[in-house]
Amino acid sequence: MPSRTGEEQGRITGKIIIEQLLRNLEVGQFEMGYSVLVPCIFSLYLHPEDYARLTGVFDLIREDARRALTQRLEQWNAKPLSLGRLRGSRQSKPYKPACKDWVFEFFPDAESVVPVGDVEIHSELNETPQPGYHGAKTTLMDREPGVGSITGRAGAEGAGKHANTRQSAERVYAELRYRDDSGPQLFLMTQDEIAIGRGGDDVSVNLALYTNDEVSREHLRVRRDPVQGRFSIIDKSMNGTWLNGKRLKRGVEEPLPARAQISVAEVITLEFEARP
Amino acid sequence: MGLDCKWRSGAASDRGLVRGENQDRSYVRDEDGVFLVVDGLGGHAAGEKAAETAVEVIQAELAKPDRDAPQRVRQAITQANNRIRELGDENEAWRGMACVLTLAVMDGERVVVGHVGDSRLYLVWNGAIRKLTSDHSPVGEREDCGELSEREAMAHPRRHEVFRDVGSRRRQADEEDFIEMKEFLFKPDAALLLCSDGLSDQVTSEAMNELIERYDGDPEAVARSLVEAANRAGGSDNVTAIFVAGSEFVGAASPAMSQARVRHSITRAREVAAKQSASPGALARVLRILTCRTAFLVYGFVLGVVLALAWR
Repeated sequence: MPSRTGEEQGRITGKIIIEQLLRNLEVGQFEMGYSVLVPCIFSLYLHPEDYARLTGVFDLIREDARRALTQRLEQWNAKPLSLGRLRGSRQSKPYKPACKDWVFEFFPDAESVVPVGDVEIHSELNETPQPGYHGAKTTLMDREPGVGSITGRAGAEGAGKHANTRQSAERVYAELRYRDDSGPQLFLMTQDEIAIGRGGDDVSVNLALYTNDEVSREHLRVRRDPVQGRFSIIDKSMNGTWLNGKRLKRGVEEPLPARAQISVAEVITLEFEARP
Repeated sequence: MGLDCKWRSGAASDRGLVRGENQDRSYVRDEDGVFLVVDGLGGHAAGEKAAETAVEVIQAELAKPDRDAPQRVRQAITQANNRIRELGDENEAWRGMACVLTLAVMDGERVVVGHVGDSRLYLVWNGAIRKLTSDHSPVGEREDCGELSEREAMAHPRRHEVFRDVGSRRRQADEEDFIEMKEFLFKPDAALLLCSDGLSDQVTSEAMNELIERYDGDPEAVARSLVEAANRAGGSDNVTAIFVAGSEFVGAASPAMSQARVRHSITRAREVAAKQSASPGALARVLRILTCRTAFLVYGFVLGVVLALAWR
């Protein structure tokens, strides 16, 4: 038994961590009317010694864990065997994570609760930032006062975010023409800085592209210098941004000509044109 | 509807707080993926007659299976146009009647849209709302090219003038300045909103999105909440909304998601060791195997064999 191995040797292995992640996946299910959500954000607390020992391989554990969890979901979502169907014990609701990608964060246990060789996993269904949560353990009860504020936040932000239409009679500085999965589109830039990407629950973008996961939630930004009126561009993505055929360095601000072709992960091309 | 349906829809309509009658009509056929919003133009009964005629003709035309979806959409709107014109010519009370409309038809993974006038189709995905149809009106045109902001356009005195309609004159299906056609991918986690200008003149797209993000499995509740919002904002016109949610669309501000957000599970490797050594799970598993249907089939079979042997 994996956990006993952990106890006997006093050392935690990647296998234990992944098995515990799978168990947490099962425990953390959240059933809805037509589907079952499973957690996709996992915070793993290790004894500080274990944490120090494993720091170098966290990325490899993440990679393995991603595979294991994806595979487990595929198993659950596979068509049940005829025997299983006879028993009628399998539910037909599809299992799905509440966000697009798995997230695994490792933390050293600062409260001396997790012994050597053990791992405590806190999982969440999706990626709402939890105040005071990351890096410090919380329990369901501790978080009760947070319920109201989180709901309030969703309501307040929901009112103002992610609309591809304008609010006031500002000047249009530039236009971006593109074609995404919703067809040809025109976006008018009226602010000095716009975020462009796929968007998402927690990621507010000004230009929300209707496209696939190749495009990051916030993929790039376009800025306008309010004094000189010059434009610049910054790539913030996993899969890259190309300016007139040349790939941009991630995180480095580059000048953006008044007319330019911006390729977003080589999936969508934005035709940028500054308005005089 | 089964669990495997690709979308769920709900519609709501109201005459508003100012108008005496409701000249809006909607038609929803979930099983075929047909969604239509019509806003009648014309005094008294004429606007209603135009809208009703559009719904009847489009419904009948779409049922003809011999063409592909874009052709059917074009043809249906054109036939509706010509029928409204005919009726207007035949009857003095209906002279000059017309309507504007937005028709969306699901075609496999795609949506085919035929649109004339200033009703609208919005696409909601990943928290963002996008207007996909153009407004065929002088004010809408200026809004679409950025000369007017959404709020300026909403408050514009010439907001209600349209330069395209269905029914004011005879039309050919492929005429350039008649039907705006659009086709796009409908993702399972996306949603559509079709509405008459009674909604978009009163409620900004952001406010609509806020109501849509409260979707919790009841599309009609969303449609109703949008209509109520238009009335709360003044209700100056008839208002109609059809909300179509993809099978995987979940409102970010829905009670289910709010609950989900504050939920998390905590597991520890060592507690599982303790539980497994007590092994109540093993007994339960054996019991389940012994009492499942297949087990009873086996019991029956064995009993049959034993009885047959005993008979001999």
